[in-house]
Amino acid sequence: MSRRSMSPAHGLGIGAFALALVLSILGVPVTSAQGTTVFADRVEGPLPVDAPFDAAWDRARAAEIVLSGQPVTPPKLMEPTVASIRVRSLVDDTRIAILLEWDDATRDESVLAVESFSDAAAIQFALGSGTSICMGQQAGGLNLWHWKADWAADLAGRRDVGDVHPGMPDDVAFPSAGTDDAFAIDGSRAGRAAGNLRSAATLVSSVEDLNAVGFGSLTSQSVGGQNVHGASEFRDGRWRVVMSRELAPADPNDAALRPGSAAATVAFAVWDGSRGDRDGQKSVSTWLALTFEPAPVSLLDIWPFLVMLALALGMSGVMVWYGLRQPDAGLGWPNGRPDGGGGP
Amino acid sequence: MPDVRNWQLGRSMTYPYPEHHPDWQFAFVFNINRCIACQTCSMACKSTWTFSKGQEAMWWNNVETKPYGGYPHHWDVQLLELLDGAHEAAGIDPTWGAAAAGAEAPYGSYDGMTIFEAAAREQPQTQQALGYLPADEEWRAPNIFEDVGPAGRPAPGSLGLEAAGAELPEHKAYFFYLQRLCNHCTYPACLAACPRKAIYKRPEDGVVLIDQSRCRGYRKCVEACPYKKSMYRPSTRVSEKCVACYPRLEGADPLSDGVPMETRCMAACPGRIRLQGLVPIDPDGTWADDRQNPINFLVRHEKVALPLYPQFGTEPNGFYIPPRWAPRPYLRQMFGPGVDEAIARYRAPSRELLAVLQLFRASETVIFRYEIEEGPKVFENEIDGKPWAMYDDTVIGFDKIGREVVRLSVEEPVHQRSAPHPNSI
Ligand code: SF4
Ligand code: SF4
Ligand code: SF4
Repeated sequence: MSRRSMSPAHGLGIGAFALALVLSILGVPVTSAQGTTVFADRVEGPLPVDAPFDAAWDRARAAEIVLSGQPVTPPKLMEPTVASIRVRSLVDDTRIAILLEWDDATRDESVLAVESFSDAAAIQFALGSGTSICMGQQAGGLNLWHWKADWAADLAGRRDVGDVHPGMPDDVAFPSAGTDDAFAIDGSRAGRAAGNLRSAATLVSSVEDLNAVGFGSLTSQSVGGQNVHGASEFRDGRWRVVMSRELAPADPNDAALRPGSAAATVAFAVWDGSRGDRDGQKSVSTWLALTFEPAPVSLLDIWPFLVMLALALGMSGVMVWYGLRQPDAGLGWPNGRPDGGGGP
Repeated sequence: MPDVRNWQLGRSMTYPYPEHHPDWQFAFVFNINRCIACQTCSMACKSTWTFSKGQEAMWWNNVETKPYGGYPHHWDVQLLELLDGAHEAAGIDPTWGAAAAGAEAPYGSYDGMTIFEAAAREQPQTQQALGYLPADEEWRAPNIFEDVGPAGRPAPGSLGLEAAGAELPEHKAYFFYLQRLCNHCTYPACLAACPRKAIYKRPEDGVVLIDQSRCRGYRKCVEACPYKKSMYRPSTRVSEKCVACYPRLEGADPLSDGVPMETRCMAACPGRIRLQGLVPIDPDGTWADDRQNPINFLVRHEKVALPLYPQFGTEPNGFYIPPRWAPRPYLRQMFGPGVDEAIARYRAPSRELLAVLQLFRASETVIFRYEIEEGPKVFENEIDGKPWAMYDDTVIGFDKIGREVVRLSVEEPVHQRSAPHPNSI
């Protein structure tokens, strides 16, 4: 239709967009709505690496990150099981801590039954530029931090079949309970003998430190290289997981994070165990920037821009109002309201 | 997805990886007709490989009672249902076209979908193979419904027994035992589904193994293996499966004298139902024409032993001589269209087949080649209205390096003690 009349709601939408644009140009964080940047804020006081619900986290800027399924390679997940996560980050002189928070109706922290899978979350860092988000590639690999609810629960003491099947015959356990040998004379734990971290007698962290250079290449760093600390808490249908690490370890397989340098490229993933999520069946973000930009100073410092913004908004309001009042003459329509289909 | 050739289906099929074949393939023939479900095989495996913590419900070898039993519960019924659902959704009526039967399509050509094709048909394709993950309690009974069969339709007052319940060729009241282990498939679904590429097929013997250091316990293999022979071990948080007793296959076992030796579950069988071997494979994946290899003879020449559920599409390397008393439609669903011919050949075995059948459990050493020395005719009969004769031939088995390991005649030699000592020891 030739007639373009603008509804007040439409006008408001344009106004909001203009505002967001201006604020973005000014560096004012609008990312909690938009979710493309995670800010690593400087902590006042100690870094809350073991306290996911510490008040210090409330002072950090939160980015609400929308997740999608993983539709690239089997096993795929077409619809995300977790719609979004909130990410905050805090740094001090030596360490960085990243807090992931998401809603989850069930707390899934056992992998002892054939059909039980654990809740999990991961942060991946691009080690080079142009790294593929899909598990990396040879040219630029990934460093991944993978937190697992079952590992967190196992930290206190490794659970075994007896914990899910109390009636399981337990009079003779092979290998006998006293030994940690993978190949004891009276039994074997093949996974442990092969050095698989999942089968290890004791875990050093609830977070696994890994690398990948493409699909199927995900590999744990050596036991000595496991340097990501984890803390997690499930409260009121919500997981909060803190993963923390030295900012720039010497290990070239670890993503070095340096405040003051360019933003790091990161992505996030979450698995909901009770929905059967594991491996590629995950809810993922796109690449995001992790920046160490300080929070913008107070609004008083940017008053000239605010004045200009107010002026611009005022002018556009006047124009909208003026436009709505114009007669329809000359556009082929009779006087009065146009037909109902005229508006957008 | 690449196309690969599946001789059991008599056609090419889709598979996530291109063809690449081992030099030899671990394979076995089980004579269902002889099994007594003693589970000696199951215990031989368990006491060797799966007696440790976390393996309580793990039976790499199990013997189950058909038609009702299954480990895990109803594994085959569940998979057949899934496949049926996929065919219905696609409007396909899966059949075997017998007309196409030939040397490289011994059972004709299957025009239904395999588990790989059913998964690929889903758009977008989210999984590599159609499958399901059995829950913990489904793994608890390796031979549930033991010795339970359909009762048939007994007449009133007959105490539940059907008058014609045990009449050949098909018993109305029947059951049979199905001996199961990993089929070390040519196109393993477990391998296809593993996103870690932690499962591999060995080039020297086609044995399919899970790399215990790379497995991350995703259980995609448990979900995808149609035979449910990849299993999750909770205590190590990773999956394990039959290893085909590879130290014995390699001749590395101290008892093996340096040549391939049959696996624990094979060698232990008192029912003498099992014969295991290694068949030579041509680079294009076809079985080399090695008629004197007993497995090759039974499967490809005599066609008396058939693959289990060939329609699943993994090209399994375990073959079964079907039970001759069971209803044929049930057997055809399980072993494909070769059932009638296989049973006919087993009921009236050729002179050569009868001799080769003597090799079952004659030795622990893998027999790579057999020869037959002809003997006299010892018996004559009529089977299915046709004359049949038995000859006391002698079969000789040779190991990998050509040494004679067994020599057996069709008729067992009998020694009659003299009258004064009929019962002495
Ligand atoms: S040992 Fe032989 S006879 Fe006994 S159950 Fe196993 S396959 Fe059957
Ligand atoms: S039987 Fe199952 S576990 Fe064994 S090779 Fe085939 S698909 Fe894999
Ligand atoms: S081949 Fe060996 S590992 Fe496999 S089921 Fe038989 S005994 Fe067990």
